[in-house]
Amino acid sequence: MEILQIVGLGLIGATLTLVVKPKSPQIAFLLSVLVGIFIFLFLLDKISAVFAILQQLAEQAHVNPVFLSTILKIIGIAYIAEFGASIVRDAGEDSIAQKVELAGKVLILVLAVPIIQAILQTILQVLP
Amino acid sequence: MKLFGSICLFLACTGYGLIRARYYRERPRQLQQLRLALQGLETEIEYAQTPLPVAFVRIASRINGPVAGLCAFVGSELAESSRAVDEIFKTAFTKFDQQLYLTKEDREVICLLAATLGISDRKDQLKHLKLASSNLHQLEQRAAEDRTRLEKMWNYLGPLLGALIVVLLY
Amino acid sequence: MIGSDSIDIVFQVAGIGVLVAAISAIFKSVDKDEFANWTTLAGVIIILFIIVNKVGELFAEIRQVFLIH
Repeated sequence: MEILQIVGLGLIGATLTLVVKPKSPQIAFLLSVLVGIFIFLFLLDKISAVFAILQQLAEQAHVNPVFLSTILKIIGIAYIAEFGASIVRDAGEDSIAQKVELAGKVLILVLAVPIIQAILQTILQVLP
Repeated sequence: MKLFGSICLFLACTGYGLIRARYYRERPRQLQQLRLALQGLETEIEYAQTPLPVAFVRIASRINGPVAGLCAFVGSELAESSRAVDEIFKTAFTKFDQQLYLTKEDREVICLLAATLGISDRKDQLKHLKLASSNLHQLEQRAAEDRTRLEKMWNYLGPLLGALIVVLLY
Repeated sequence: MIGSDSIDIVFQVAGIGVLVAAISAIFKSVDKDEFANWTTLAGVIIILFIIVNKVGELFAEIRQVFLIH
Protein backbone atom coordinates (compact mmCIF):
# COMPACT_ATOMS: atom_id res chain seq x y z
CA MET A 1 0.00 0.00 0.00
CA GLU A 2 2.22 2.74 -1.28
CA ILE A 3 -0.58 5.29 -1.27
CA LEU A 4 -0.51 5.08 2.53
CA GLN A 5 3.16 5.99 2.48
CA ILE A 6 2.51 8.94 0.20
CA VAL A 7 -0.38 10.18 2.30
CA GLY A 8 1.65 9.72 5.48
CA LEU A 9 4.56 11.66 4.01
CA GLY A 10 2.20 14.39 2.88
CA LEU A 11 0.51 14.64 6.28
CA ILE A 12 3.80 14.72 8.17
CA GLY A 13 5.20 17.26 5.75
CA ALA A 14 2.12 19.46 6.07
CA THR A 15 2.21 19.30 9.88
CA LEU A 16 5.92 20.15 10.04
CA THR A 17 5.42 22.98 7.57
CA LEU A 18 2.65 24.38 9.75
CA VAL A 19 4.93 24.15 12.79
CA VAL A 20 7.79 25.99 11.08
CA LYS A 21 5.76 28.51 9.09
CA PRO A 22 4.97 31.14 11.77
CA LYS A 23 8.63 31.28 12.81
CA SER A 24 10.35 31.31 9.42
CA PRO A 25 8.26 31.14 6.25
CA GLN A 26 11.27 30.59 3.98
CA ILE A 27 12.23 27.34 5.66
CA ALA A 28 8.60 26.20 5.65
CA PHE A 29 8.52 26.76 1.90
CA LEU A 30 11.72 24.77 1.41
CA LEU A 31 10.22 21.98 3.50
CA SER A 32 7.12 21.79 1.32
CA VAL A 33 9.33 21.75 -1.78
CA LEU A 34 11.26 18.84 -0.29
CA VAL A 35 8.09 16.85 0.36
CA GLY A 36 6.95 17.57 -3.19
CA ILE A 37 10.27 16.33 -4.55
CA PHE A 38 10.01 13.08 -2.63
CA ILE A 39 6.48 12.40 -3.83
CA PHE A 40 7.46 13.17 -7.41
CA LEU A 41 10.50 10.90 -7.15
CA PHE A 42 8.22 8.14 -5.97
CA LEU A 43 5.80 8.71 -8.81
CA LEU A 44 8.62 8.64 -11.35
CA ASP A 45 9.24 4.96 -10.61
CA LYS A 46 5.63 4.15 -11.44
CA ILE A 47 5.63 6.33 -14.56
CA SER A 48 8.77 4.65 -15.86
CA ALA A 49 7.06 1.26 -15.52
CA VAL A 50 4.12 2.49 -17.59
CA PHE A 51 6.46 3.93 -20.17
CA ALA A 52 8.32 0.67 -20.51
CA ILE A 53 5.06 -1.05 -21.42
CA LEU A 54 4.20 1.76 -23.85
CA GLN A 55 7.53 1.37 -25.56
CA GLN A 56 7.03 -2.37 -25.85
CA LEU A 57 3.62 -1.82 -27.45
CA ALA A 58 5.06 0.72 -29.84
CA GLU A 59 7.73 -1.69 -30.95
CA GLN A 60 5.17 -4.39 -31.58
CA ALA A 61 3.03 -1.97 -33.59
CA HIS A 62 6.07 -0.77 -35.58
CA VAL A 63 5.52 2.87 -34.72
CA ASN A 64 8.34 5.20 -35.67
CA PRO A 65 10.44 5.43 -32.45
CA VAL A 66 10.95 9.16 -33.02
CA PHE A 67 7.22 9.74 -32.52
CA LEU A 68 7.12 7.74 -29.32
CA SER A 69 10.09 9.55 -27.81
CA THR A 70 8.53 12.88 -28.80
CA ILE A 71 5.29 11.99 -27.08
CA LEU A 72 7.15 10.86 -23.98
CA LYS A 73 9.04 14.13 -23.95
CA ILE A 74 5.81 16.07 -24.26
CA ILE A 75 4.27 14.21 -21.35
CA GLY A 76 7.43 14.78 -19.35
CA ILE A 77 7.44 18.49 -20.09
CA ALA A 78 3.81 18.71 -19.05
CA TYR A 79 4.49 17.01 -15.72
CA ILE A 80 7.64 19.02 -14.98
CA ALA A 81 6.02 22.33 -15.88
CA GLU A 82 3.07 21.49 -13.65
CA PHE A 83 5.36 20.55 -10.77
CA GLY A 84 7.52 23.65 -11.09
CA ALA A 85 4.56 25.96 -11.49
CA SER A 86 2.81 24.57 -8.40
CA ILE A 87 5.98 24.98 -6.34
CA VAL A 88 6.38 28.58 -7.46
CA ARG A 89 2.70 29.20 -6.77
CA ASP A 90 3.20 27.83 -3.24
CA ALA A 91 5.80 30.51 -2.76
CA GLY A 92 3.17 33.11 -3.62
CA GLU A 93 4.66 34.15 -6.95
CA ASP A 94 1.67 33.69 -9.24
CA SER A 95 3.10 35.68 -12.13
CA ILE A 96 6.26 33.56 -12.32
CA ALA A 97 4.15 30.40 -12.10
CA GLN A 98 2.13 31.56 -15.10
CA LYS A 99 5.32 32.15 -17.05
CA VAL A 100 6.55 28.66 -16.21
CA GLU A 101 3.29 27.20 -17.49
CA LEU A 102 3.52 29.30 -20.62
CA ALA A 103 7.06 28.07 -21.24
CA GLY A 104 5.84 24.49 -20.86
CA LYS A 105 3.08 25.06 -23.43
CA VAL A 106 5.43 26.67 -25.93
CA LEU A 107 8.02 23.90 -25.58
CA ILE A 108 5.33 21.27 -26.09
CA LEU A 109 4.23 23.08 -29.25
CA VAL A 110 7.82 23.15 -30.51
CA LEU A 111 8.18 19.43 -29.94
CA ALA A 112 4.86 18.72 -31.59
CA VAL A 113 5.75 20.54 -34.81
CA PRO A 114 7.48 17.53 -36.48
CA ILE A 115 4.50 15.32 -35.72
CA ILE A 116 2.08 17.87 -37.14
CA GLN A 117 4.28 18.12 -40.22
CA ALA A 118 4.25 14.37 -40.68
CA ILE A 119 0.48 14.25 -40.36
CA LEU A 120 0.04 17.02 -42.88
CA GLN A 121 2.35 15.29 -45.34
CA THR A 122 0.44 12.04 -44.94
CA ILE A 123 -2.83 13.83 -45.57
CA LEU A 124 -1.40 15.53 -48.65
CA GLN A 125 -0.24 12.17 -49.97
CA VAL A 126 -3.61 10.61 -49.39
CA LEU A 127 -5.43 13.47 -51.05
CA PRO A 128 -5.38 13.31 -54.83
CA MET B 1 27.64 5.10 18.36
CA LYS B 2 26.01 7.92 16.43
CA LEU B 3 23.74 8.60 19.39
CA PHE B 4 26.71 8.70 21.77
CA GLY B 5 28.54 11.18 19.55
CA SER B 6 25.43 13.32 19.29
CA ILE B 7 25.02 13.38 23.05
CA CYS B 8 28.69 14.33 23.49
CA LEU B 9 28.36 17.15 20.96
CA PHE B 10 25.18 18.42 22.56
CA LEU B 11 26.68 18.37 26.06
CA ALA B 12 29.84 20.10 24.84
CA CYS B 13 27.84 22.91 23.25
CA THR B 14 25.67 23.23 26.35
CA GLY B 15 28.79 23.43 28.49
CA TYR B 16 30.30 26.06 26.25
CA GLY B 17 27.12 28.11 26.55
CA LEU B 18 27.16 27.79 30.34
CA ILE B 19 30.81 28.84 30.48
CA ARG B 20 30.11 31.91 28.38
CA ALA B 21 27.12 32.67 30.62
CA ARG B 22 29.32 32.34 33.72
CA TYR B 23 31.69 34.92 32.26
CA TYR B 24 28.86 37.45 32.16
CA ARG B 25 27.67 36.42 35.61
CA GLU B 26 31.06 36.64 37.31
CA ARG B 27 32.31 39.86 35.73
CA PRO B 28 30.07 42.30 37.65
CA ARG B 29 30.84 40.52 40.92
CA GLN B 30 34.59 40.65 40.38
CA LEU B 31 34.38 44.29 39.37
CA GLN B 32 32.54 44.97 42.61
CA GLN B 33 35.21 43.14 44.61
CA LEU B 34 37.87 45.11 42.81
CA ARG B 35 36.10 48.34 43.71
CA LEU B 36 35.86 47.25 47.35
CA ALA B 37 39.58 46.53 47.29
CA LEU B 38 40.28 50.01 45.94
CA GLN B 39 38.14 51.55 48.68
CA GLY B 40 40.05 49.55 51.24
CA LEU B 41 43.29 50.80 49.73
CA GLU B 42 41.95 54.33 49.93
CA THR B 43 41.34 54.04 53.68
CA GLU B 44 44.71 52.41 54.22
CA ILE B 45 46.46 55.25 52.45
CA GLU B 46 44.39 58.10 53.81
CA TYR B 47 44.10 57.20 57.50
CA ALA B 48 46.59 54.49 58.36
CA GLN B 49 49.30 55.46 55.86
CA THR B 50 50.29 51.81 55.64
CA PRO B 51 53.10 50.90 53.22
CA LEU B 52 51.69 49.36 50.00
CA PRO B 53 52.79 45.72 50.52
CA VAL B 54 51.18 45.52 53.94
CA ALA B 55 48.10 47.37 52.71
CA PHE B 56 47.55 44.88 49.87
CA VAL B 57 47.91 41.88 52.14
CA ARG B 58 45.45 43.40 54.61
CA ILE B 59 42.94 44.10 51.85
CA ALA B 60 43.30 40.56 50.58
CA SER B 61 42.24 39.21 53.96
CA ARG B 62 39.16 41.44 53.96
CA ILE B 63 37.61 40.45 50.60
CA ASN B 64 37.18 37.06 48.97
CA GLY B 65 37.23 35.43 45.56
CA PRO B 66 39.96 35.56 42.93
CA VAL B 67 40.46 39.29 43.53
CA ALA B 68 41.70 38.48 47.04
CA GLY B 69 44.28 36.10 45.55
CA LEU B 70 45.31 38.86 43.17
CA CYS B 71 45.78 41.35 46.00
CA ALA B 72 47.70 38.86 48.14
CA PHE B 73 50.01 38.08 45.22
CA VAL B 74 50.63 41.76 44.55
CA GLY B 75 51.32 42.41 48.26
CA SER B 76 53.86 39.61 48.59
CA GLU B 77 55.55 40.54 45.30
CA LEU B 78 55.80 44.17 46.42
CA ALA B 79 57.45 43.10 49.65
CA GLU B 80 59.96 40.81 47.95
CA SER B 81 60.97 42.41 44.66
CA SER B 82 61.76 46.00 43.78
CA ARG B 83 59.82 46.15 40.55
CA ALA B 84 57.35 48.90 39.73
CA VAL B 85 53.77 48.46 40.93
CA ASP B 86 52.19 48.39 37.45
CA GLU B 87 54.62 45.70 36.27
CA ILE B 88 53.70 43.57 39.23
CA PHE B 89 50.02 44.06 38.43
CA LYS B 90 50.64 42.99 34.87
CA THR B 91 52.33 39.76 35.93
CA ALA B 92 49.55 39.23 38.48
CA PHE B 93 46.92 39.61 35.76
CA THR B 94 48.65 37.08 33.54
CA LYS B 95 49.01 34.72 36.50
CA PHE B 96 45.35 34.89 37.52
CA ASP B 97 44.12 35.11 33.92
CA GLN B 98 42.10 31.90 34.18
CA GLN B 99 40.19 32.93 37.29
CA LEU B 100 39.56 36.56 36.45
CA TYR B 101 36.57 37.23 34.21
CA LEU B 102 37.66 40.76 33.39
CA THR B 103 37.91 42.41 30.00
CA LYS B 104 40.93 44.26 28.69
CA GLU B 105 39.20 47.53 29.52
CA ASP B 106 38.83 46.60 33.19
CA ARG B 107 42.48 45.61 33.40
CA GLU B 108 43.58 48.84 31.78
CA VAL B 109 41.83 50.90 34.46
CA ILE B 110 43.72 49.02 37.18
CA CYS B 111 47.05 49.19 35.35
CA LEU B 112 46.62 52.92 34.85
CA LEU B 113 46.04 53.31 38.59
CA ALA B 114 48.94 51.03 39.46
CA ALA B 115 51.29 53.23 37.44
CA THR B 116 50.64 56.11 39.85
CA LEU B 117 50.66 54.10 43.09
CA GLY B 118 53.67 54.58 45.31
CA ILE B 119 55.43 57.19 43.21
CA SER B 120 53.67 60.39 44.24
CA ASP B 121 52.35 61.99 47.40
CA ARG B 122 49.25 60.94 49.27
CA LYS B 123 46.85 63.48 47.85
CA ASP B 124 47.71 62.63 44.27
CA GLN B 125 47.36 58.92 44.87
CA LEU B 126 43.97 59.40 46.52
CA LYS B 127 42.83 61.44 43.53
CA HIS B 128 43.80 58.65 41.16
CA LEU B 129 42.19 56.06 43.41
CA LYS B 130 38.90 57.95 43.34
CA LEU B 131 39.09 58.27 39.56
CA ALA B 132 39.75 54.55 39.10
CA SER B 133 36.97 53.76 41.53
CA SER B 134 34.43 55.77 39.61
CA ASN B 135 35.64 54.27 36.34
CA LEU B 136 35.18 50.80 37.80
CA HIS B 137 31.73 51.78 38.99
CA GLN B 138 30.75 52.72 35.45
CA LEU B 139 32.16 49.50 34.06
CA GLU B 140 30.31 47.59 36.76
CA GLN B 141 27.00 49.12 35.80
CA ARG B 142 27.59 48.30 32.16
CA ALA B 143 28.62 44.77 33.08
CA ALA B 144 25.42 44.35 35.08
CA GLU B 145 23.43 45.49 32.05
CA ASP B 146 25.26 43.03 29.84
CA ARG B 147 24.63 40.33 32.38
CA THR B 148 20.85 40.62 32.31
CA ARG B 149 20.84 40.36 28.51
CA LEU B 150 23.71 38.13 27.55
CA GLU B 151 23.77 35.62 30.39
CA LYS B 152 20.33 34.32 29.53
CA MET B 153 21.13 34.41 25.83
CA TRP B 154 24.19 32.18 26.19
CA ASN B 155 22.34 29.85 28.52
CA TYR B 156 19.82 29.15 25.76
CA LEU B 157 22.12 29.55 22.80
CA GLY B 158 24.54 26.78 23.84
CA PRO B 159 22.05 23.90 23.92
CA LEU B 160 20.22 25.18 20.85
CA LEU B 161 23.44 25.43 18.86
CA GLY B 162 24.37 21.91 19.98
CA ALA B 163 20.99 20.56 18.92
CA LEU B 164 21.32 22.32 15.56
CA ILE B 165 24.74 20.80 14.85
CA VAL B 166 23.48 17.36 15.91
CA VAL B 167 20.48 17.63 13.59
CA LEU B 168 22.71 18.87 10.78
CA LEU B 169 25.11 15.96 11.08
CA TYR B 170 22.54 13.27 11.84
CA MET C 1 9.34 3.36 -2.94
CA ILE C 2 9.58 6.06 -0.35
CA GLY C 3 12.58 5.02 1.67
CA SER C 4 13.05 5.78 5.35
CA ASP C 5 15.85 8.17 4.37
CA SER C 6 13.36 10.51 2.73
CA ILE C 7 11.26 10.89 5.88
CA ASP C 8 14.52 11.32 7.79
CA ILE C 9 15.47 14.23 5.58
CA VAL C 10 12.04 15.79 5.99
CA PHE C 11 12.37 15.59 9.77
CA GLN C 12 15.93 16.91 9.61
CA VAL C 13 14.87 19.93 7.61
CA ALA C 14 11.96 20.59 9.98
CA GLY C 15 14.30 20.29 12.97
CA ILE C 16 16.77 22.73 11.43
CA GLY C 17 13.90 25.09 10.75
CA VAL C 18 12.60 25.00 14.32
CA LEU C 19 16.07 25.40 15.87
CA VAL C 20 17.09 28.20 13.54
CA ALA C 21 13.84 29.98 14.30
CA ALA C 22 14.42 29.57 18.04
CA ILE C 23 18.01 30.84 17.85
CA SER C 24 17.01 33.84 15.80
CA ALA C 25 14.17 34.55 18.25
CA ILE C 26 16.70 34.53 21.11
CA PHE C 27 18.99 36.89 19.23
CA LYS C 28 16.06 39.16 18.54
CA SER C 29 15.04 39.18 22.19
CA VAL C 30 18.47 40.50 23.22
CA ASP C 31 18.43 43.25 20.59
CA LYS C 32 20.86 41.62 18.20
CA ASP C 33 18.68 41.78 15.12
CA GLU C 34 21.54 41.48 12.65
CA PHE C 35 22.63 38.18 14.20
CA ALA C 36 19.04 36.98 14.02
CA ASN C 37 18.91 37.76 10.31
CA TRP C 38 22.24 36.05 9.68
CA THR C 39 21.06 32.95 11.54
CA THR C 40 17.91 32.72 9.45
CA LEU C 41 19.91 33.23 6.27
CA ALA C 42 22.40 30.54 7.25
CA GLY C 43 19.57 28.13 8.01
CA VAL C 44 17.93 28.78 4.65
CA ILE C 45 21.24 28.27 2.83
CA ILE C 46 21.94 24.99 4.63
CA ILE C 47 18.48 23.67 3.80
CA LEU C 48 18.87 24.93 0.25
CA PHE C 49 21.98 22.76 -0.05
CA ILE C 50 20.01 19.68 0.99
CA ILE C 51 17.18 20.53 -1.37
CA VAL C 52 19.42 21.31 -4.33
CA ASN C 53 20.89 17.82 -4.00
CA LYS C 54 17.43 16.32 -4.07
CA VAL C 55 16.34 18.48 -6.99
CA GLY C 56 19.38 17.31 -8.93
CA GLU C 57 18.45 13.72 -8.18
CA LEU C 58 14.89 14.35 -9.31
CA PHE C 59 15.95 15.98 -12.56
CA ALA C 60 18.38 13.19 -13.36
CA GLU C 61 15.63 10.66 -12.90
CA ILE C 62 13.18 12.69 -14.95
CA ARG C 63 15.65 12.80 -17.81
CA GLN C 64 16.13 9.08 -17.62
CA VAL C 65 12.42 8.29 -17.55
CA PHE C 66 11.24 10.72 -20.19
CA LEU C 67 14.11 9.95 -22.60
CA ILE C 68 15.28 13.55 -22.70
CA HIS C 69 18.98 13.42 -23.30
